[in-house]
Parts: sequence; C-alpha cells; structure tokens
Amino acid sequence: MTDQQFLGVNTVSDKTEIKNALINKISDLDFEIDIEKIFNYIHCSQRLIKNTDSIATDDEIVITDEYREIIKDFNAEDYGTPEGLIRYFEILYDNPATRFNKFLWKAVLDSLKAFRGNELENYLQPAADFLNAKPFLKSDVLFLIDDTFPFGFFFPKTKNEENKEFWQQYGFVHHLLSAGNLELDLHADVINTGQFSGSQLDDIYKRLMNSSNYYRNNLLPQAFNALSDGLPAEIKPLLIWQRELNILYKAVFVEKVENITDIFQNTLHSALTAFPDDEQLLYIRAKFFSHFYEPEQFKEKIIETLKLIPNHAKCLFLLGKCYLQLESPRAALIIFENLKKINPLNMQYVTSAAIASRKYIDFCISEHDPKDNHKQYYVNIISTLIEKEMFDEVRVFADEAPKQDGDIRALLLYSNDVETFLVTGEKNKEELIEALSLTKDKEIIRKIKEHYLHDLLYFSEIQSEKDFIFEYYRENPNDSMANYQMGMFYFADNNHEKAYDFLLKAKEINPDKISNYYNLARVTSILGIHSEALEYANIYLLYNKYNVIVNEIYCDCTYSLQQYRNAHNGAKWLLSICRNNEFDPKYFFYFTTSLSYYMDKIETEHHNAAYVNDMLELYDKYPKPDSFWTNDNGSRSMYWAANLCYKTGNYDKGLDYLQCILENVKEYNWPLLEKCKFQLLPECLHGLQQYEKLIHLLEMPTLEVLQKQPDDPSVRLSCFYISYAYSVQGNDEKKMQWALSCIKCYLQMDNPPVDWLANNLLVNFQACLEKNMKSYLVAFGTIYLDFIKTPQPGHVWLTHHFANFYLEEGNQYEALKYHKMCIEFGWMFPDEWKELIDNSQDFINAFNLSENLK
Amino acid sequence: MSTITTYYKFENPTNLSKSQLWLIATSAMLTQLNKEFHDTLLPHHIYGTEALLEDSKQCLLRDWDTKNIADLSDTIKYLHTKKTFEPVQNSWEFLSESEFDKTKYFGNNMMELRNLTDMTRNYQYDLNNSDFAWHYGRCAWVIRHAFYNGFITEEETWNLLKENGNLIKKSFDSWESFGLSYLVGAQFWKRDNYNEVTMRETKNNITFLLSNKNSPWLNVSWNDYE
Repeated sequence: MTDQQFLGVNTVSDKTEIKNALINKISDLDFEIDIEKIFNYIHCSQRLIKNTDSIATDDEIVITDEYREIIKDFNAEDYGTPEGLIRYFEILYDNPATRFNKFLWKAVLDSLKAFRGNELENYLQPAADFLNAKPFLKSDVLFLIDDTFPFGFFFPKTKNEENKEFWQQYGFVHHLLSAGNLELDLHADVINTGQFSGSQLDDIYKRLMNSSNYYRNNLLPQAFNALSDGLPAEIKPLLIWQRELNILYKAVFVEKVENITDIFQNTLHSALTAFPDDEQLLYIRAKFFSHFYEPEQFKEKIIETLKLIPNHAKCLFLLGKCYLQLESPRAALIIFENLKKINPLNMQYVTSAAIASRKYIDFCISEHDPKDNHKQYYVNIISTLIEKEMFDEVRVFADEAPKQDGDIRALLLYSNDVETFLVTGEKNKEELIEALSLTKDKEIIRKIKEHYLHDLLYFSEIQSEKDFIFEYYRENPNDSMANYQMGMFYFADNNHEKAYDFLLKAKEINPDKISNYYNLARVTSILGIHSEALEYANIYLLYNKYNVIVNEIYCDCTYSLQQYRNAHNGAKWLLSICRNNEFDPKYFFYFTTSLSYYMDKIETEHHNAAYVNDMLELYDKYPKPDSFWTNDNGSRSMYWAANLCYKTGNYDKGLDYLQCILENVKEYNWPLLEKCKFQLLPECLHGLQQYEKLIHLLEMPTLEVLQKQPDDPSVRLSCFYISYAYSVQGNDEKKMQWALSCIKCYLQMDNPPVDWLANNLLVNFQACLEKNMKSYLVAFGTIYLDFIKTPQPGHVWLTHHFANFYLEEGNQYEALKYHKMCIEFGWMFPDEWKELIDNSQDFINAFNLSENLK
Repeated sequence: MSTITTYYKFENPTNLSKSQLWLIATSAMLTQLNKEFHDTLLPHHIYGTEALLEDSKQCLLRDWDTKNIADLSDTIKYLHTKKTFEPVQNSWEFLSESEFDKTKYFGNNMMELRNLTDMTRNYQYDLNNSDFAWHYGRCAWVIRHAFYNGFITEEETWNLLKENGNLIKKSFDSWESFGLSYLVGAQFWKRDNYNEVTMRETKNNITFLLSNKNSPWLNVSWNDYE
C-alpha cells in the first residue's frame, strides 16, 4: 500500500488535504492504546508533506511586467542626481509591493553604476540619510547598496572623540550595511501580506525591533508593551500575538513574575479568537494548561489539541510527559521513541525516552503475569533488554520464560556472552555457535552473528572468519553490518577497492554507524582519495577527536591537499594526544613542514614569530621516538624547524637544529644533508654574522664537493656566503674567487635565476673595476654577455666599461668592439646611460677619424 | 583468565556515603565516556596504572590547562562562570515558529547561527538553567582527576565537589534535568557540526545513566544530597 493510499489522500501536493486526512484517520483512535498506529499515520503524513516540499517550486520574486516600467534608467535626467536617486529609493521603499523585491533594487543600482559609476561618492551622504530614515530593508538589499557605494570614504576607519557625533548619527546605518537586518529577514515577508501600507509596516517592524531589544536586556514588561500598546487586536498580525505570548510565557513560568497570569490568559484568548487554528497558539495554550491541570485532566486537554494538530511534535511531547505522570510508560515510551526519529537533535526526547524506558521495564517486571505471556513476548523483551545492556532484567524474565524452547535458549546464551564481553572483552565462540544451532529465528541468528563478529581486533582474526562473514552476508545482503564485515574482510585482505565498495554500501544503508566513517577514512586514504578521506576523517573526529589513526589520516590528507594550516593544526593536536609510545616521526614532520609552507603563503610582515617560537618549544618538548633519526621524517621535521627559525630570524636556534641534524643523519641521506649544510647553515651563520665560523665550517666541505664535481649547483649558496664572508673580512681575492664559483654553480642549475645573476655579475664586475682585478673582471664581464641573452640596460653600462678597460690595457680594437656594442645596446635603451653612449660614440668617431687620417 | 576491561557494576566498594556517591555521580557523563568508576572517588578505583595516570595528567594539561592546584582553581572558576548557550537563548528565544522556520534557510556562512537557533527552538522555555550542567558536570570530573594526579588532598577534593555539587543542586531538580542540560551543552560544543552522528555517543551515555540499573543515577537518588 502506498502512503497516499494508507492515508487516503487524493492530491499528493496539497498539504491541507494531507493534514485533514491525518486528522480524519486519527480522530477515532485512542491516544494510549492506538498510539503506535497514530504514529504510523503521522510518519506517513510527514513523508507525503516532505514530497510536497520537493514538488513545490521556488517562488522567489522576479521582475514581472507589472513592475518592469518602474525601473528607470540613470541616463534619464530626472534620476541622474543624488536627490533623484533618493526619490526613486523612496518610491520603492514606500510601496509594500516593491520594498522587498531585490531585483528592482538591483536594477536601479546596476543602472546607477553603469551611468554614474564615477560619481558615486556624491551619493554617500544622501544614501546614508535615506537608510537612517527608512531602515526596514532586508539584508540582501542592504548588501546590494553596500556593494554599490564606496562607503569606505564615508565612514571613518576609527571611532574617537572627534567623530563621536558622526557615529551617533550614522552608527546604526554602518551596522545595517555591514551586518544586514537579520531579524527583519525572518519576519519581513510574514508581516507584509498586502494588508498594511508602507508606514503601517514601518510601525510594526519598529515595534518588533524595539521589543527584541528590550527582551534581550531582560526588560520583559517593555518588550511586551512595545508590541501591544496601541495596536488594535483586529489588525494585529499573528506573529505579534505569538511574540507577545512568548514574552508573557517567560515572565510567568520562567521568571515567575506574579499577577500576570490573567494578562497571559486574556492575550491567549484574544489571539485564539483572531487565529483559532494556529498551531503555535494551540501549543502555547496546551503548555499553559500543563502547569495548572492535574495529569488526568491535562490528558483530555492535550488529546483535544492533538486531534486538531496531530503531528505537532511539542504537543506530542507534552502528552508523553503526561503519560509518564500517569504511570503509563508504554505509551510514553512509544511517543518519545517516535519523537526521537522525527527530531533526533532534540535532546529532551532522548532523556524522556530513557526515563520512560526504565519505567516501562520496571512496569513489565512488576505487573506482568507469566501465565498471560507467550514465547514471542519473552523473545521480544529479552532482545530489547540485551540491546539496552540490562542483563539483571534479562535474568528476571529468563526465570519465567520457557527455557526448553530453542529460541529462548539461544537468546539466553547470547545474552550471557554479550554481558561477559562487556566486562572482560572476551567472547565464547563455542557457546555462540551452540546458540546458532539451537534457533531457526532469522532475527536471533542475525543478532548472534553480528555479536560474534563484533569488535574483531586484528586483521588475522577477520581473515580467519572468512566463511562465517560470507555466510552472514549471503543471509543479509542489505544489512549494514553484513556489508561492513565484508568491507573489513577485504580490507584485511588488502583488496582496498572492494573494501571501499562494501564499506560505502554499509554507510549508505546506515549513515549513523560511526565505524563506517573510521574505516572509510582509512581505506580512501590508502587509495589516495584524499578529499574523500578527509570528509570521513572529519566526521569521525567530531565523534572522537582523540583517535590517533584518524588524526594521522587528517594530517596526511590536509598536507596532500596543501591545506597547510589545517595540517599544522592537526599535527599540533595529534602530538598533544599521543601517549609516550605513540609519537611518530611523521607527526613531527607535518607539524613543522606544514607551518613553514603555510608561512610561505603569508606575507612576511604578517609572520608571527612569537607563535613560531611557541610551536618550536612544543616541538622540542615532545619526546622523540627511537626511529626519529632512522626515519627521514624525523630529520626532515628538524630541517623544517630550522627553516622556521631562519624565517623568523631565530638563527641561533636554527643553528642548533642544523648541528643536531648534521650529527645524527647518516651519509646516505645526501639531499637533506646538502640542504642543511650548504644552504640553511650558511644562511643562519650569515644571519648571525659569524663569518669566521662560516668560513671554517664551510670552505673545506664546499671545496671537496667542487673537486668531486666542478660547478656543482648544490653548493651555490655556500659559495655565495663564503664569498660574502671573505668580503666582510676584506679578502678581495678570496671574495672574487668564491663569487666566481658561485656564479658558475648557478649557471649549472636547470632554471637559474637570470635577473639575480645579471645583477650579481654587474656588481662583481664593478667591484673588479674599482679594485682593478683584471682576470675576474674579464671573467664576470664575459659570463654576463654570454649568459644574459636578453639585452638589458646593464649591457650598455658593462660594454662601455669593458671598452674602457681594454683601452687602458692598450687594446684599441677590443675597445672599439665593445664601444660599438655599447652603441647597439644604447639604441634599445636610449633613455639609459646617455652619457656613456655619447662617450662611446665620441670614441668611435675619434677612432674612425684617426683611421681615416691614417 | 579474564580481567575487567570496563566498569560495569555499581557496588560502592569503598563504602562511601550516599551523599559522597551523589557528588561523584555529578561527574557521571565524562566518567561514563571514559569508562571509569562511578562508585569510587578515584576514577579507576584500585585498577589505576602508570599509563592511566599519564593519560589523566596529559588530558588535564592538554584539555584543561591544569597541572597544579592553582590551575585547578582557575579551571573551576572558569567552569562555574562560563556562559555558552544562555546568551544565545536570550537573543532568540522569543521568536515565533514562522521566524524559526525562516532560520532553516540561513546560508552555509551562517551555519552556526542556523544550528543555534534550531537548538533555541527545540528547548524554547524548557531549560531553566540552560547548559550549565555541561560545565558543572565536567568540573566534577576534573576535580576527581586532580585528586588522582595528587594536585589536591582527599579532603580538598570532597570540599570542591561539594562546592560544585551545591551549584548543581541549586540549578536542577532531577538527574533528568541535569542530564538534559549536559546534552544541550555537548550540542552547543558541537554547534559547527550539528548532527546525529556527532551526538550519538553522548546520547547513548545519558541513556545509560538514566535507565541502567548500574548507573549511579539509578543507585543514588537526586535527593540523597542536601
């Protein structure tokens, strides 16, 4: 039977018909005896209503022809001024039919931007004044206005004594533009049903705004009066009645204000006179009754209400509470359990269901008569008690149940084993197999098998149960646990693709089972599907943030996805939860590396050195596992720790880390050693200005590398800093020797930094000129001209000075060659080095003249 | 031979008074979550180990910034004064149903507010003391662990538990209202990811505490402490 047939509905898209059908179905039912049946109808109606919601189309307002003519073009002269715009704003605002039509406002603002885009500053003050006077616009329109106008020019960046008056006048507008009108968004359309004029709307919105402010300051009388004073009952909107009653409810029943119960009753009466069918008003009335009536009388009252609004969850809850007071725990339990399904996030239903469940079991134990009960009664109740881990109670029923019956015997063996497992963590598999042999009941068999396979700790255990798992799955192919166990079997068997398929199906069947997410995170992480693994890990960590494995997956995934901030924070958390034997070098690696990469994404002036220092203190504090130096991740983590020190100028500490790495890392890890020794070490020593130490520590090892492989680019930085160190010491010969080595090493790189090299070559060339170091000068000059292929202004300068150098050397022809080159480069950069170009031209002219004379 | 892996029976092995058991029962939510003892002052009774003590110490330091009696005093002060869900209730509790309906359509950038208004709607005028139990209940657990770590003496522990217990007794009228307030606090804590899965274990624990014969809340009456 379909839901439609079950409820007797003709039109599935008509909510009123569905509601009336439900009312008809339950009208003659007993709210205690038939409560399960009533919930069947309620669930059915909710499914149908849910479908209705999906059928309904989005009725968002669009610009209809009716409004199209309202839209004005801002090249039309009347509207091309701030005054014109405000007049137009007022037309839209004052008409309730257009005030909340975002598209009309958007059309106006778009047109304004198109035709007056460069004059928008002139509109700021009028727009702000308009909003001060007419603030009741929804957030979407306010944000459009804020996006259109450059209000940054209007609102001062700071608040101080000097602009106090300004902020008093425009602070509200500033708040509206930045935060929107959130509360108005919630009730604007509910109030604006066409019944009120623009000014009446403003009055109502203002009342609501003032009332909310009073309420938030716990001024309940003022909050109530702001709504009720001077607003006639005949025109008062439903929402105002509801708000008034909420305020009064708080005053009477929460704040226990005396002598206002009459006001509450009168207001409720007037509200229900105006809106007799409103669900919220009926509920408030029922809740009011619950405080004054005895349970038996209240039951009549609430059932009366429920016959009008049968699917009102809060009213059903009141009935459940009433049944608890009346010692009818069965009906109460059914109500709360069903409400838990309807709204699993209302914790009142959870606590009430727990109370009802306890009462119901006690009731069953004390009230039931063994003679009246048949076997199925015992099967049901013992199964429920096992599920709730109430084993003392199982024993009570076991004493009276027909123990010779195979199903009962199986259940009791199963119960015994579940209890033992809870206390000791051990199962008696022989006894469970015996239990299975005693029963033919499919549900009992399923439960026993589920328990049998529950919590197998090791993959070897899972693999050894292959036949059992496959049979369990064959018997229950659509059961979440059976699919889960199949997934785990394939996981244990290293077939991760199949494991993923089964675990995914298990999750789809039962999305609430958390172990599905745990294992899906593991499998997808192994399969390298990082984004999906991260989703599952995130879900699992919300449930248990202390799980080391899932936290590790979180770090793996965020790092792989280059979410370095998350990876660093994940590793920080992971390290904080590790027991002493759980620290893994990888966690240290994520901790420092991710932080370093994250800092690379942030501009240097925003680097927080204090935070980095705190993190490095944490890094030092955590115990390093034995595998720290045998595992690349450990040494790499320390390299990145040193790198963080370098980035934040903490060179001493960086040096400590580097020395620690150099002492502990084995030779085979050459790339890391290379980075530490020939890059970061000289950089830190340079930072500390320890040039003697720099030369002492680096010159020989660098020479050794260069002897093995001339111009090895891996030592380029080392050469650079050695050169710099010698320059500080005033040893020009050594400085130039290492500078030349540095350049040559750079030239061997796959992608050498051309601009830096060009500049460096020119600087060195100039230094050689000044110091008259001829051999280096020729070397730097030649490399520059050979290597820097794209002409730059530097070519003009260098060729000119090269020419002069040769002239001084007495080589006129070489000088001529370079002066000519200077002229050629000078054509490309006529505005650079004009004087040098003129000089070169003079030289060429003079040279040509003398040649002619010859 | 089997060993005890999980707390199970409520037996009162150290012959504590009803009033003392009541004070310990105020820590029941975290005690149940961590599978500790509900009926002894020490969280692991006589089954404590070096590793468990290390875990406890690490947890107090990491989650509570507590490594000595001075820190403990700060933590207790924080837990006794911190307001979390109450200001939210005060800001939105007066809304009508139609307004609450609209909050469901808040965009993802307002997910937290959407979840908080849903909570406000669910418990509208039904929580007299908001989510205070979330703070007081955890406070009782922290005090027990401070004793376990040797930060305070047994006498100091009972005094602190009493001070905390008096607040609880004044604020709530049953284990049920105490448990509900605690659940709401847990929900507020997870307001960014407000769903069934994240609440499941806490819900199961409270269900156990309110319904199982081995729960301290069924063995110690709410009125056993004056």
